[in-house]
Amino acid sequence: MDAEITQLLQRHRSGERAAFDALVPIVYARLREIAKRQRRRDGLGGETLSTTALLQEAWLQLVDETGVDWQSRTHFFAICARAMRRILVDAARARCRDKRGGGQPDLTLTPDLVAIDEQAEDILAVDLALEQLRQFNERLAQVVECRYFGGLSEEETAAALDTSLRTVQRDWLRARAWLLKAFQGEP
Amino acid sequence: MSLDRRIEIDRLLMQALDLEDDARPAFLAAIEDASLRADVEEMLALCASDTDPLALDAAAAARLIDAAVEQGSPALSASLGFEDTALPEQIGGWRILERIGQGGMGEVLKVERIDAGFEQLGAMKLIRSGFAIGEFARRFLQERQILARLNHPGIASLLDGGRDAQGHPYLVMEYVDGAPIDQYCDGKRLGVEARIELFIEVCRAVAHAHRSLVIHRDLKPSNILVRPDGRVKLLDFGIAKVLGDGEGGDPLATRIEQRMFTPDYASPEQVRGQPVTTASDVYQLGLLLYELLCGHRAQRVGNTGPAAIERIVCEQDPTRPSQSIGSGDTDLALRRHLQPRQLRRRLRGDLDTIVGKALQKNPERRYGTVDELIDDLIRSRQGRTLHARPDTWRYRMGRFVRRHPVGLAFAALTLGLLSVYLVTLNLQARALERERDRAQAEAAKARQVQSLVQRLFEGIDPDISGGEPLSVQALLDRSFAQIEGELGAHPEVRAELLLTVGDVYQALGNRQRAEELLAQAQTLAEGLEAEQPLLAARVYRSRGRLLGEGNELALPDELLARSLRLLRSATTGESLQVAETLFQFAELKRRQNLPEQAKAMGEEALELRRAAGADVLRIAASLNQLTMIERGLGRHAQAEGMLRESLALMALRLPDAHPRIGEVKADLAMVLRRQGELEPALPLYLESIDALRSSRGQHHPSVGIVLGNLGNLYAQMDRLDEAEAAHREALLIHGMHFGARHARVALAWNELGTSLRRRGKLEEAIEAFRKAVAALPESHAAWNDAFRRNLIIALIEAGQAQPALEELSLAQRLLQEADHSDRDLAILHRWRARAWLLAGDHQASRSEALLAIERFGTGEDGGPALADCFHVLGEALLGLDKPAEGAEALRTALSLYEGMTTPPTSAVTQVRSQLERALARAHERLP
Repeated sequence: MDAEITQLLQRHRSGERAAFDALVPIVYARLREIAKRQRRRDGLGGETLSTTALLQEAWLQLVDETGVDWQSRTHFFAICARAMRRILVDAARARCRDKRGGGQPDLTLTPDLVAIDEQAEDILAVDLALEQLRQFNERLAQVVECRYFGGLSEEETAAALDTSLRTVQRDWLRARAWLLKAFQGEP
Repeated sequence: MSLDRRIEIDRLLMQALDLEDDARPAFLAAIEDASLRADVEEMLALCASDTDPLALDAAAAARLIDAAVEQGSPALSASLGFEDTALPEQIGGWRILERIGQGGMGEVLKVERIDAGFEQLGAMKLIRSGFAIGEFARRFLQERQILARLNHPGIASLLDGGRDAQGHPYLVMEYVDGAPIDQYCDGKRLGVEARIELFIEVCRAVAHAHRSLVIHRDLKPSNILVRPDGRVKLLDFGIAKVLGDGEGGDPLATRIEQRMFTPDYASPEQVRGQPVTTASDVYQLGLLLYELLCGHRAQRVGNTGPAAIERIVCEQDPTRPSQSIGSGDTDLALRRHLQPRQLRRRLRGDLDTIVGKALQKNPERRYGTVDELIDDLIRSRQGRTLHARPDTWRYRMGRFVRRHPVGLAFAALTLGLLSVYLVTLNLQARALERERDRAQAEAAKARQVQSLVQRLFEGIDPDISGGEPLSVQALLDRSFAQIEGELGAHPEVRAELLLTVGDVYQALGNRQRAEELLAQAQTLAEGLEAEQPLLAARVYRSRGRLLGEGNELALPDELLARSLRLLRSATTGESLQVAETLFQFAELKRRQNLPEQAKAMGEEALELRRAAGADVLRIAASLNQLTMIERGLGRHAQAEGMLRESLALMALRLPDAHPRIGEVKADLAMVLRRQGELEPALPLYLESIDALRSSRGQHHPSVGIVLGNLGNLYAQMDRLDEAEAAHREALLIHGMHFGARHARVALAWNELGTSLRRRGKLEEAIEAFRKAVAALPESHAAWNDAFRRNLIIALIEAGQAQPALEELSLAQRLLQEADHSDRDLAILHRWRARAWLLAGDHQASRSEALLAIERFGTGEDGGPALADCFHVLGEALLGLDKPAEGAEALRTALSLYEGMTTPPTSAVTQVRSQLERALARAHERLP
């Protein structure tokens, strides 16, 4: 499997766009496996590492374990950001579905739970807006994916997307504006 | 909005953003379509907006996923791959019974050996993920090697290992039926001591692993089980790293290992990804001890991100164990059989310090080895000084006083008085608020004292003092020298501080420094005598006491008399102060060998203390003083009653194991022994030794002294085996402190020799007496005679004539060099007579015996020694074939023996039978 990832990364770097899409499900599966393994480890003693921390850790491990070189690694970040987006959206959907379908009255007393619910809705909203954005400018969507879901810095995003820092900064401003507009609601 | 329109807006927006700000209006104006222009303008405004819709709250996102998983959302569980996998029936030679848990490396299964012919349970660790191949398999095999290397009852052992049908590696370990250590302790409601006991077992297992170059790296309650029989078992060396081997391994694997830890039980270096050493295990042991003692975790990381983990683990100091117990923690304390207040007190001091040392953020500042941690726990139990240095002066003072409770408790007392004085001054300042000038003066004084006290103790903070914690002495040296110069403005404050600090120096044994300060205090006090008579009296007393302990003659008397005069004429009732001065005066008189005067003063002090309801320990101190005075007067009977009362008083306040109690018990035992009450003396000696051992340490010099006395008591009781054992133990201790050549060591050898001789172990007795002679330093030549005589007697009793004669000629030389009496010479001749008799030289024996008799004869009654001389003479004459003269000598010996109040039976019997033989032989000669 590691060999497959490395190969796909090389094909992606040599310009084969389809390789990226082929990579995402593989990486997602690997991230899930690492997450699961660590869940179990933590589940045993009852000490849970937060899932984000866990995924970040898993991510770094994945980079280590697949042994990708530094240049491929930056691309790899973009792929992981996509995978992370899918995990978060799955979780947010689960949350919102549970809330709507559960039937129990929702007594949200702790600020933590409020934050979770808001976060879940935010994630779904961003996901939806990102899909719209992708339809007319895929690169803007990728920038958001890296920055928002992947937690990458501007520099890391530039490296991951093979573009200049200046471009990423400008794209980020534009993408943000589009998302804000989407959130404001269309007339 | 159509897609095309969005694309168009986006294109224009990009162009506008690429322009400088001042060029944008012209660019926008050039857009002909007004609605399009408006849209682009709106987008530009959104770009400039500060509101960020895209802040993904990482913590909230994490909780979102956690919450969804916890709520059992099937979609998310599937998404994250948490679905169970089916278990096979058997793996290798093991039947799968159930899944016990799922760990970092895979699953843990309870298994049972098939076809073993005996029942054997195991815990199988199995890697079932795709990662079992490659690095993880390598690490798994490494774990197998590690476990095979460890063989300790406290570490779960390795039973088997291999690969399953799919090629996943597995290990089978000893199945441990037990509860996690924290649950075990709470379930059994173990007290603090029992918890520490159990914890030390854990430490011993970890120390064993360290000696085998293995670090555990993941010590936490769930990895430490306690079996129903109370034995501890360490599980899961799953992320253990082999010291040394780690470097040779794959760096990638090492990096992965470094990321694997349990946040609540992680050490700072683990979190930072720095190299992990045995110090990391020490840290985790510290966390464990904390949790066992306090009932909650030292560091609670919970659901936080890496930054928060790093902050909590690497920067935040956990609350001290004693301070973590709130008054509401009744259940928690009750699980340790204590009230919250008691638990807090039990944790305060040593346990705070030990936990703090183990939990140092910097690995180098922790215990260097687990053995050191164990050692400190044991030291704490015995009340001895810890290796760990505490961070606060309070600890230092507490420890100091516990170690030197007799005289040096005074140091703490006076430092305490200083604080009291400060409070008093503050109160005074408040009460006199209206008298403005006076109040201001008082407040200024209070402020000054406060700042002085603060500065005095600043030095105790290791951060300020440059890392090294200071002793009380160093603290005073450092701080007081600095602040002393600033005291001029208020002579009263100055005198008070000089007195206090001078007293502390005296208690610390720095007499020279104490004298410097107290002399200054006296000069000030003399000027203040009219306004502050009490202060002056206290100053005179302190200096009088100090000088009295030195060789000063008249001055101490004068100072103490002045102190007494001032106190007695005070209008307010100062009876306790009067008593204190009388007490010190009595000490002085006792040392000056004026027991009658000492007795009068000491008795008055005791009376005053009793009447004023003084602290029981001060009353006890008076009683002990009077005991010594009475003993000096040779009146032991009075001593007994006072010692018993003193003991009863001290028992009210001090623990059984207090060294002062140990000392008084030993004194009481000695008094009883002198009165011939041997049986009652014995338990007192034993208790005394227990108390001294547990308070001052197994091998404290005082333990040696009391053991020696115990040996003498046993000898007196004819319990010679025990006497020998006690003397030997005493010798061992003396040897540790005084080296081979010391009067105390020599005396102990002599006592051991005497016991051995009485038991008939003559060879060993000779050896012991020889050692006694060799150990005797020049200064104690006076004992030389006695020890040598013991040696000679033992040699003669053992039938070793030649060595006895050699010793005798040496003794004769020594005797001639020194001043000697006729009696000394007589004794020498007596033993020479015996030695020659033994050697078969009857001629020499006879002349020595005659010389001895002559010497004894010039002095007073010779007692048994003179009788013995006639006895020897008689035997020698018999040997010389002069039975009639022999019989006459023997008859004289017999009449001397029979004239004694308690004739020595064996000697009498011997003489009688020889006399009969002599008479028979004399008869044969008669024609």
